[in-house]
Amino acid sequence: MASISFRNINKFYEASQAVADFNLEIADGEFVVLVGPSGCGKTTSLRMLAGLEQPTGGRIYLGGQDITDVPSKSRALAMVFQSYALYPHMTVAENISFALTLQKVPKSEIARQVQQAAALLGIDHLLSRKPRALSGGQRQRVAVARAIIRNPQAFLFDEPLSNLDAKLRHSARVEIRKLQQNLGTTTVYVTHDQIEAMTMADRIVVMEGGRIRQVGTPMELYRNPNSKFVASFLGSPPTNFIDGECVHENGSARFVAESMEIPLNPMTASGPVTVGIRPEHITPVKTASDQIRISGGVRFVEALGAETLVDLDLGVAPAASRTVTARLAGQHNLAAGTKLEIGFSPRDMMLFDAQGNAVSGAFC
Amino acid sequence: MNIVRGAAPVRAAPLQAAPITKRVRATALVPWLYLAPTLLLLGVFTYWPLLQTAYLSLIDWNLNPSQPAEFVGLENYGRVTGSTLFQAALLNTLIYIGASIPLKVLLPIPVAVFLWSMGQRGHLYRAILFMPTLISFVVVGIAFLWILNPIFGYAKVIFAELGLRFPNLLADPDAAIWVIIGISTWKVLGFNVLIYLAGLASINKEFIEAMRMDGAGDVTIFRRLIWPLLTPTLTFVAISTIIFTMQQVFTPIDLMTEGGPSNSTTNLFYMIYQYSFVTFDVGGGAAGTMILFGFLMIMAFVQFRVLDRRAQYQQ
Repeated sequence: MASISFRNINKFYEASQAVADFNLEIADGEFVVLVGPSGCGKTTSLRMLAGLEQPTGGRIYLGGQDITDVPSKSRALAMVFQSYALYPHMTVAENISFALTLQKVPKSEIARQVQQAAALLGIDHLLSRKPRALSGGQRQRVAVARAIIRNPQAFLFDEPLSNLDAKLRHSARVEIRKLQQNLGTTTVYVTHDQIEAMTMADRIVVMEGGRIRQVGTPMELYRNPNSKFVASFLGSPPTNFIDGECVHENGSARFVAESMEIPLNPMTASGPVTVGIRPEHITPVKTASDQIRISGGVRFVEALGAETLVDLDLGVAPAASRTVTARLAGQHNLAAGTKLEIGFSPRDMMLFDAQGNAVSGAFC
Repeated sequence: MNIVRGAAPVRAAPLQAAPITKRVRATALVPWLYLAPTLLLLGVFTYWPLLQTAYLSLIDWNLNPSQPAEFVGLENYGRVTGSTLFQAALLNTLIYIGASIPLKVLLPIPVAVFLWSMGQRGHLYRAILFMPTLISFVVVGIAFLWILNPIFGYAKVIFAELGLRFPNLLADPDAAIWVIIGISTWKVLGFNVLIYLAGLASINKEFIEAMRMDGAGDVTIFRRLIWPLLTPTLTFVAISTIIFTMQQVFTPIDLMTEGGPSNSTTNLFYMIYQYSFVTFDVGGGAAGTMILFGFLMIMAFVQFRVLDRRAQYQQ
């Protein structure tokens, strides 16, 4: 087990830059999730840590030692691949024990450790099977068993759950997290699924276009996203954005978007801005006196039982229609076209400038 | 049909029985109609000639239709197997096969792995290696006859430049067979490399990366991953190359050495040709063919038993 640090990592593929100025310190035993849309450089960063790609510039440290030029086979890192990459010609037991046989561990010791790892993952009855005779979920467990048996410095996961169905994904999420907490092994986990990031991570690293956009605990990122991108990426359904303008008048400032007006902190710079409000912060009932109330026509309703997602059309003109999604607890009997008044508190709102950066303390 | 039958008067039933049986018979015939083209072709061009050859191997005949064929029993077999030509041909056949395993079956593997590891840059070399496969073997044979010509050949000229004397390889009973083996290897190498490349392309790159992460070096990866996953391809290449080699070398033998010098390059195929169409000894040629047939059957059986058992098949 060891700490990991990326210092000024850059990666170019011919002319295009995959990772730019990547700096990250991962503490010993920490579970860090790299999350972002396809092509954001998260997998490339993980592969550079694994030694499967060589960074164009910068250094990578593992437990304080510079491993940038150390080949993968000597890095003592274990990786779980998206395809699981189980050796098709070997049995489950041979797959799990392969690294130990290379290390010339005595046979009886290998058998004991394989048994232990398999029992931990509930695959001890599958040891003599070949990978082709396993289900997706079983393969995923074998891949994890193969990683933990090595007692590595760190676990690297590359989208390990993306080939599983939704139900299995949920239980696998919990199991991987529990396993990591029991073993206390430093873990770097790559995913494009924000739910995996939110539920599993000690810290999340949000990436976009090869750059880190924000690093923080799941709740930090949820409460205080530093940009429109982070606000939109984390949370489901995504944050509602309303484009408008910050207007100063008689020493006070207001956010103006068509008929909507919201008072702003006078320190806010004037010009085009965007307001963000999460769907779960919108309520139909008036809970506080300072709530901002707006009304719109119901456009579409998704009833999920425990909650109801309502798409509201706030647009004045049909051409410039503006939709917000509200996530209402419980069941609501709303037909499309119904007029609905909703409200949200300024405390839950976020403001972003024209560049998409968060403006803190914009709402009084 | 049931409705029609049920609605018909009872008296009419025996009358209808005949067309129904006819229809049933026609239905039973349908699968045979589908099989007919294949069965016909196999029968006419494979199994009938095989039986005919077996019959011909028991008679004495000189291919002249007006000459009566005389039944001689197994005498042809004794005559052929006792001849020095057959003994030389059998020995050479074994040499051709023995040499083709390391040269045509195994040598392409490192070449293919090397080209594969080069990625995109390997494409050009792949094309260059494949080129000989596309050239007619007749052209290849003539080209090499020119190169190796002891009087005006390129090899002689180049050796002379270096102050060396180029030996007349095709006239040397010990060397001539290796010239044929060399040329046939050169011709088939690129093709087999291509087949191995196809086999390698089916190996998921993540297997290799996973093995690297497990602490394996290049040699271990080749030995424990690439080799076992390549065995189905190896089986195919081995069987096709060995069977193909026996026929493939016919052209250069006929063109460059005609089996000589002193039967040092002939093989069973060429021997049969000599018996049947050079000396018109139909019985001898047919007996040789039957022996070759048995030989190939044994080869195929051994190969399937030995190689197929060891082959690792992917999902």
